[in-house]
Amino acid sequence: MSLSSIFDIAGSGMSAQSIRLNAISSNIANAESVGRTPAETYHAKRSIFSAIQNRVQLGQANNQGQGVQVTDVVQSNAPLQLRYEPSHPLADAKGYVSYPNVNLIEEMTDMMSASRSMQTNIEVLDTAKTLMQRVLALGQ
Amino acid sequence: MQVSNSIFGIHEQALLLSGKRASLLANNIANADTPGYLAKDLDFRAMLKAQTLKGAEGFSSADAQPMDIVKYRIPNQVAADGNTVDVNIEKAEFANNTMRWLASYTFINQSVKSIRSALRGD
Repeated sequence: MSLSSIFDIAGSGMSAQSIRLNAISSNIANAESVGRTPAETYHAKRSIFSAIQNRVQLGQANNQGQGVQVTDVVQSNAPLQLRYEPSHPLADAKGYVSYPNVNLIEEMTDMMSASRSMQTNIEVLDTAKTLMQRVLALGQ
Repeated sequence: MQVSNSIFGIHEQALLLSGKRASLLANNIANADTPGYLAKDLDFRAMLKAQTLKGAEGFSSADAQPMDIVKYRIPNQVAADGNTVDVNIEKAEFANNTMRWLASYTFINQSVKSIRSALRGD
């Protein structure tokens, strides 16, 4: 019954979006976390999504996707923000402190996108649940 | 087999197919943020025709593995990352598909109820 596979698919979508939300919240929380060296400074994290594919090609039998997965969480390689703060205890020889490459506006829009996707997946799951309940009540 | 075919008619296959289509659309929605993902959909009319023809040739619905006719959706606008899922379209299609599923379900349910009342005789 392919209706039951919707639970897996929407579930994988929800889990992927929650990993994405996790990375976003970590980025926002660490938006000001400076380190002793630029390498130690917090770098924004990005989750990489990819579709889970079945073994077969398009146009053949059973060609149905199996949802989405987070293959990796990578660090953003955008340049760090250098701020001139000579009095900062972690400032370098020239007086610069490297702040994380987190763009709060970007993170907030990403968060909205993730939460909308999460909602959509929950709606799909809810619909599938209703249909399954109907099947169980068949003939009554 | 012959009995169930004649009682439920096309709705037995239609119900199975719309279940399949629902999972395909759910997959599109789950992959709405996957870079490079191409939205897929199935050719419902062609598949239903193939299924009912198969059924007429005497295969049972259980062992007739459906020949999936899955195609890529033609996007209105491709996202910068190559994703072709338009969540609004997918949601609308999903709702539409759910109503079709419920319609087929209602027909089957009514048939079951009629048989039950015929058997009871009340």
